[in-house]
Amino acid sequence: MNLHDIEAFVAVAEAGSVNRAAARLNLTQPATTRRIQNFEAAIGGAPLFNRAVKPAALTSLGNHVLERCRRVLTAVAELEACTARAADPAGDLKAGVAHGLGDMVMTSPLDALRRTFPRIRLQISSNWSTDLIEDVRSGGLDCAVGLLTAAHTIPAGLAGIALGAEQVVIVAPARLPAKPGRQPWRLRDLADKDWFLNPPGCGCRTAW
Amino acid sequence: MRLPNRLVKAFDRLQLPLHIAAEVFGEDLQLSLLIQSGGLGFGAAAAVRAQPTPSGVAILEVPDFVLPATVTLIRSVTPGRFDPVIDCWCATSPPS
Repeated sequence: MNLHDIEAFVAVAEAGSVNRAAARLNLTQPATTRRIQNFEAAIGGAPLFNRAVKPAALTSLGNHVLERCRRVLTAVAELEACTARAADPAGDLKAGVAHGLGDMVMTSPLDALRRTFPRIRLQISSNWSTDLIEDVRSGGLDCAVGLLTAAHTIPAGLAGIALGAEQVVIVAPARLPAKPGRQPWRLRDLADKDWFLNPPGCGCRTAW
Repeated sequence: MRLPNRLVKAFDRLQLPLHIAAEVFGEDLQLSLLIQSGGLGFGAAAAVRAQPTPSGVAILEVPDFVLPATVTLIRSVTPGRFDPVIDCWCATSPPS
């Protein structure tokens, strides 16, 4: 039984598909499948997934094993955090940044991180804040910087560290003529305008 | 930017229709369409202000629609090997 196989099992169970787990693990789909098969063999050959249904679901044994595997990974993470090598970590750090925040939150930290941790390779992706929270929760990302409003909640097991106050604003073409008398715009004035927004079914209608 | 419920509720309260010209996944495309077609969208104030001039977009000050937000770093509470890196990221992030 090895740790990589355990990681693969947890990733497939949490991601709900081998393909998504493979992307999270930076592996091919066949390599991920092999790790699951290795792990199943290591625990005695009993199936952890019911492959007769689509998508494959955890068996009752799979659910039982998953909880214990999570504990193993947590214990290993804690062990790694307190070893001498923790001061100079190496590997791929997967980070997410909310759409529109990239330059603002990345430029200064990127230089500092590259200087201070030369053995770290950053993999940075961009997404909407709600999806970023979910990706950190599921382990797909190591951390993320989101733009959170009162509509967002941070689930148990995660922490949010405020980096600064921001404001979500209405954006218009620079050529939009000023309101007569240079009065401030009211929401009522915008009723005849067209809006370009994200589709409602893309995972987060409550906030972006 | 994604459609905040706040906007829908605000228009509902005013009993005004909300005209959605297009639902577009992807901020760049949204802003591009907005610039070309003259519509409206959402953005983070600092990010819009940081756009090169002339970027084609501007902040529309609308005092009765204010949506405060916080730039937040999200991480696991479980200690991990990348903790020093994430701590460094927090320490070097410029205040917005």
